Amino acid sequence: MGRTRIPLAKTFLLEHVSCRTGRVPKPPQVIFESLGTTVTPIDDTFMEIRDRVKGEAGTPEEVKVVGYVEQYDERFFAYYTPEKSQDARSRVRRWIIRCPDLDATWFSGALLQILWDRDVSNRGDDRFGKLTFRHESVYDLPEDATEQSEQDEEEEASEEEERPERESRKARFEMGDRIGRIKASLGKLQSDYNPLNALFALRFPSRLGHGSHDLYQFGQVTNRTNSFEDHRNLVRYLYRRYKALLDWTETAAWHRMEAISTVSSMQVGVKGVPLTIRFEEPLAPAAFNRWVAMAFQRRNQFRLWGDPIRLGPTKVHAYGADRHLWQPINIEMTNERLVAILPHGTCGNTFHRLVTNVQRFVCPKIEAWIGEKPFKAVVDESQVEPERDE
Amino acid sequence: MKTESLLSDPVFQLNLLLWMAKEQPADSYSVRPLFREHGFEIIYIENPFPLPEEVVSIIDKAGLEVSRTPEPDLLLGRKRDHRALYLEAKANSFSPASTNCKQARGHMVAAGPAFAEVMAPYQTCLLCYVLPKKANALMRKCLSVLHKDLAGAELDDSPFSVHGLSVRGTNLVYSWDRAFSQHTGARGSSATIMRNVGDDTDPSPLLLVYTDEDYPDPERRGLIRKAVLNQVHAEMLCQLQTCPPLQPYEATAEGLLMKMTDGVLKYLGRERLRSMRRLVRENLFRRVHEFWQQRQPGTVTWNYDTLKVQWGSASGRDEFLDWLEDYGRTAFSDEKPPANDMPLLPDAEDPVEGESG
Repeated sequence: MGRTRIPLAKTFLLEHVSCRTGRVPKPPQVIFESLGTTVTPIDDTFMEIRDRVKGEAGTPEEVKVVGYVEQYDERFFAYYTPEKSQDARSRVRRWIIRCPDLDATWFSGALLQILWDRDVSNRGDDRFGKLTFRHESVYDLPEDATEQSEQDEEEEASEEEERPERESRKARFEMGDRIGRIKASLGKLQSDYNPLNALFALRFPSRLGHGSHDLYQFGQVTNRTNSFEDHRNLVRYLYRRYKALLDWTETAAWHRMEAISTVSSMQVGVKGVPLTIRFEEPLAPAAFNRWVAMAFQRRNQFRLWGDPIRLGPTKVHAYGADRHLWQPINIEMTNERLVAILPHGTCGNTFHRLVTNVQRFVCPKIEAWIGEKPFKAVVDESQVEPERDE
Repeated sequence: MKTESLLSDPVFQLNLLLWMAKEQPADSYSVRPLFREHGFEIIYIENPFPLPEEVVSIIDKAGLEVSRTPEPDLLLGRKRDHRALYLEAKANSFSPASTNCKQARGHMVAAGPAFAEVMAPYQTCLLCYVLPKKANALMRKCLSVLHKDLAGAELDDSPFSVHGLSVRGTNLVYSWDRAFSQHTGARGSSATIMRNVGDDTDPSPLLLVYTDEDYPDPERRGLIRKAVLNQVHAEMLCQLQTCPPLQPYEATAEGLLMKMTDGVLKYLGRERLRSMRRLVRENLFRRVHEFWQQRQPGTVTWNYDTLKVQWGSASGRDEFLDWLEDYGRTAFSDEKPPANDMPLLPDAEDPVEGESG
């Protein structure tokens, strides 16, 4: 006799805008209603979301409760849903593509690695953990390869057996084992094979006991414990860490004039530092050219808009915009690194999406800096505000 | 292009100096942050330096040609000991008989004791002339003569330092003298600030300050203008994409330029701002207006410095934004517009000209 399967709760940590960017934040009701969903408030920060759901085979679409949104602050919302992972991802992805007011939160491979190093690896050597790695060098293809547009994870999964496999560097790994064993091997494996630096998902063993929570790099957290409260605690913890990182990024990076009040005069200083991502392996010229040609296309993963100015065989400047959020960004792309300047008001999420996509699709092993500070030091330094009642 | 040919370009020089004051990774920099390594941060870019009243009175009586409104290219300051650097970039050296000497004397006076008076809490300042290295000796000689002129007229000036830019092999090298070492604590007399500068790649870092002038590369005269126009284009597109669907949109050339630089442009020279406004008006606003006047009459109105867009329908808006997103179709020219700054319409006035007085 089969067991009744209780669907796993998934949370998608979503990012809206902060008033510090100069834009006026909208309430989540307004955003979700603009997406065609029906929003029913439950209390001041919690609301029910109804949306169209595909019927079972042969039955028409119907409108149902698909999940709940909790507003953490003006900038971050959590969308909780019991839908199947594939359906939930498609829905959230559709919302994000259609609405420049919403973005995913971007837990890049570099950030997941730090969460592993500083947190998960210290949750007990005998606990079970899981690390998932994914990298596909989508720009490093044979000369005669055809271009391919961006695909959903689920599309990829369902189609990969149906079509001829493209020759490219493609790595998908999972390491599920006791944390102590993973710790003992991971460093050596990562130094031997660069794609093992492109972390895609990380399992957090529950603090309560059995079970765990899986964090994916696009801000999905899947609850594999029996406690929703424990799950929400973890999501809130990740939200605080991510928010602190964004605040730090923006405060350091925004290019701006700032008044400096001195004893006898008022002066101004030009503030703002560049963001740098260095590739461990320089790109081949053909891969670089393909990256430049595709990164600015409408449906590409990088979601950049601009007209790259060619400065050499492997160097371009683009004074353009983040196509998803429609915020300006200036970028230097070379075969060895990417340098970005964020004008005042451009969301730090743009940079973390860049880091995520570079590791996933361009070069799996990278180093990143905000100004002169390594990414790891930034994550350590960005302060996490303690949980408090509001 | 030859990196050598960029060493005397004022925009390249100024951007290089700015990057040298920007925090960057120690081993993965765009331009080695030499000034930053020694604790210096940016205070001003191209901002007029107001000389104290007493100094102006002495200049009035001195019988020497001394600029009363010196404008350093870049001022850097170090908070820990209140030292400053007053940087002036030049394409070449000049002789004591040159008309440049009036400006140079002004810089020397501004960076002298007057600096502490105006820029407190900064106490001491060093005037640094930056130019291609091969011109350093003549520049030093000229500044020594000017120093004697000023001493004879009882005008206190500052010590000076002369810095060189040169290409050695595939490295771009910045060199300095003993005065700079003493003032900043920098060791040695030169450092590689950019590596692997080959003839097939333009070494320019991302631009932080702009101009509407020609770029030194004869094949790409419009490169800096293109960088400016691309940013204004991006700013306008971002504003349009995020404003409510059928709300009228209004932008001014100066407003877009200020937003694009987050106000940095306000602190740059007035003439530079004026010419960049002209560039936006003539190369971007004019093109948008002319194209849409034929396609959707009444959608775009253009009155000198101001562009207004008002769509009649959602499909009209979509069509407009699709066009604006498409670099191939917008095809904004990066040619330098004619210098005639007269209003294009007989009854239109330039409000900013009047205010800037």
